[in-house]
Amino acid sequence: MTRAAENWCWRGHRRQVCLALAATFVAAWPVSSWAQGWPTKPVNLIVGYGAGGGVDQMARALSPKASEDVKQPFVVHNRPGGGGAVAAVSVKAAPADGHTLVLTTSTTFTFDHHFAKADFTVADFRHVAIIGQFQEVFVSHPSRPWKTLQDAIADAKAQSRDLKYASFYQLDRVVTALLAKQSGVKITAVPTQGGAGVVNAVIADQVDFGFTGGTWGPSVTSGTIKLLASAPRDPLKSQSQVPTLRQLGYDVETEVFVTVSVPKDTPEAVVRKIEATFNKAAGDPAYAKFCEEGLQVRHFNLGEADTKKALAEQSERYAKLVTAVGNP
Amino acid sequence: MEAVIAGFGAALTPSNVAFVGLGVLLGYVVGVLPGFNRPTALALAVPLTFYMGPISGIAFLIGISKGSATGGAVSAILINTPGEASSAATCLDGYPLARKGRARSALLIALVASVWGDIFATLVLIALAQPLSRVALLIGPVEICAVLFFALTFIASLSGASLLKGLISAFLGILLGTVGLDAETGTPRLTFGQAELFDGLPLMVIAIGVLALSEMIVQMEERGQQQGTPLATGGDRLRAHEIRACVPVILRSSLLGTVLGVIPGLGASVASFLAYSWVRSTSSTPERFGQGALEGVAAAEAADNAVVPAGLIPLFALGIPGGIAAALIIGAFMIHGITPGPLMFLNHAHVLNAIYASMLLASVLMFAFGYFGSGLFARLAQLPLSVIVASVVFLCIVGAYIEGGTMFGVYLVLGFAVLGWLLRKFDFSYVTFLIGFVLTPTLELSLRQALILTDRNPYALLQHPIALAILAVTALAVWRMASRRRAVTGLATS
Repeated sequence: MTRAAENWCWRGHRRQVCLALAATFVAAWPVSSWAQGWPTKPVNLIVGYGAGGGVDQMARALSPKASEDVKQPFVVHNRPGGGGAVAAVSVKAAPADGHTLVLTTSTTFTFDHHFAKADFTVADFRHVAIIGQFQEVFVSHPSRPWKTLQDAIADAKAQSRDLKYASFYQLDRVVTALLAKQSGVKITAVPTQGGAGVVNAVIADQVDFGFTGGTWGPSVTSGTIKLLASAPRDPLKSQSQVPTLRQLGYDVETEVFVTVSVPKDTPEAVVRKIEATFNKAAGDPAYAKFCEEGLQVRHFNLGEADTKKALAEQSERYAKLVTAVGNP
Repeated sequence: MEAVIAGFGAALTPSNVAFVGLGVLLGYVVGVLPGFNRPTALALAVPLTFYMGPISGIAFLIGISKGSATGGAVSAILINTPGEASSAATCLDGYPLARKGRARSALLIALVASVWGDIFATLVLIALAQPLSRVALLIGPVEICAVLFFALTFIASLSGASLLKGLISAFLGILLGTVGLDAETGTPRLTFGQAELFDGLPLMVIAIGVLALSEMIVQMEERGQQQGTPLATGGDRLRAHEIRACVPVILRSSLLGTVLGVIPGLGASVASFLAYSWVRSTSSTPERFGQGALEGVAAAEAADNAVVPAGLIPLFALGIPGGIAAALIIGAFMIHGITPGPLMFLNHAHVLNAIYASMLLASVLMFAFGYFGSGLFARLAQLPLSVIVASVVFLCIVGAYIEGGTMFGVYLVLGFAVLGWLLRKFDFSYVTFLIGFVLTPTLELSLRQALILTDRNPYALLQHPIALAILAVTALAVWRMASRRRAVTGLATS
């Protein structure tokens, strides 16, 4: 543009130029700020666990359905580390425009901070949906003469010996610490590598029992391990005859939801849309079947209000539990 | 065996051959590219298997596993960047061979070793899955711990000129291997408050930094001094005496990879480093290793590939998932209504035999793709150094970003490039550094487990004769090395 043309533009047509600028601004405004058109670009779904695990498989089962619904791809990124902490930290720092979501377990926000300090709290996010719940169980080798976990504890008490179990992570150590406290039997955790490590140790009969969240289904079906108890409040969906810890008389339960969260400053309208998208996708019967049969995950889905309430209650319950047993 | 031959009937349908081929090809490409790893490829592929029959679906996944183990060698040899973490040991001699203009020979030996390791372990799986899996159950934390203690003795023979320097780098590797949450107490160790470090330093990022990126720094320095070294590529043929030297190495390493693969939790990286160390320390000319010895490439690749089918032995026979890849394959079985474990051999024998046949088919296809691929990729080595250095740096950074998940991976890889460069500059062994790092997490976990399971009572070892035998061999190895060393230094001073 020459100097003369610039002059023409600005001097002679100041009004028109200003109006045009204002019009452009107004036209662009709703897209960038009100985000009525969410999503305007591909949505990044940051998964707090590695490729191939239960949480990852749920994310990958949901993303095509969500993509179809909103006509923008949902791209799964695995950012494992620190039980979901790495993913949560990176999403906390991401733009709060609804295009970066974290899909992880509720314990990332409600439990892990008791053991390793993280740079975020449950209040740094809006927790938009719960898309399922893991069903943790106690398992043992089929040759052990016990029907329930209570039999194992009574047996150890009668023989005045310790119990050794294959541990999954800190959550089960707090739970078994409480069992030990209530029953007077010493229960020692043997650390293993992930859920597969627990199943290995139990099948090889190296430990008295094991605690695991997701990889028990195939081995129970094939009879290489047996169920002694389930840890969540409600009995297992597929095997309701297995007693829960509460039914065995212990005042404790585990609760690990799979959650979808966004940074806390995400606009209200966007949050509503994300909530609707995930509830629709998670309500799909094929997804439900995959969760329950493929992953032994209890299938249900909750919106933001219920999720917020559930996580607040969970935080409080875990804080009480950790205080009750001391840091094991 | 007859049943397996019958299985070929079910396996050799056009669609099944196509799926197996597709799986191997996909795995090969994933293997070649650093940054795309096997678990991710499998996780992406599992939903596709919903639409396939059980035989094609499982064979497709196993094809990806096998293909990636083979493809990992290509980038390890050509650009010193392991395509899969388990091919880090292949870099040690593969890349020096490529620098000498022998990329094609190195790729060919890697391919032959890979395919043989794979076929051998597949045959063992077919013939001995059930009895071997019972033996695997006898190998617990105490035995694994003893094996890894024995493996540490290799550090002495890999140290190079100075044992002290070798030990210093090994201990540096061991120290960095302890970064992360403590397995027993959950306390963060050496993490400096970084959540990225809670699960430990990623092997892949460290290998890329110490091996590939630091080598690029060295090359840039050399280029400044001597105007680059054009690669002599003419007349690169495998000679008969070289093939003869590699045959026993491939046989031994395939056997070692199979044995280690059956034990859940050890993994391909440990196996390939151990095979490399074993072959190097028993060689009559160990000084050639690290400078471009074909046997080094053969050892690492045969063991790496043998682990894949061997890892399926406890999975098929007992339903034990050795790792994340195995867990995904179990999931794929379950989707088709088959539960891996002892009953599978009775209730689904025909499916199993067809899967066996598909696995052997995958080995053959792997050789075909690999042969074609190495011809193609070997030409890359002839590119001008400036192009190679630039592309390798690019691949390293992208690979570290993907593996590390965030920019954190990139900062790490740059830091480890400098560390690798310093190690080379001051003649510290980066091999012992990597071995220390690779062995430490498994060694620490199994030691912790062993101590808890035995109530810290040394007499409990008496109930573990296998572990006792391995520990005795370890003591013997240390004593022999010490006395040989004394003899050598005695000669030098007299």
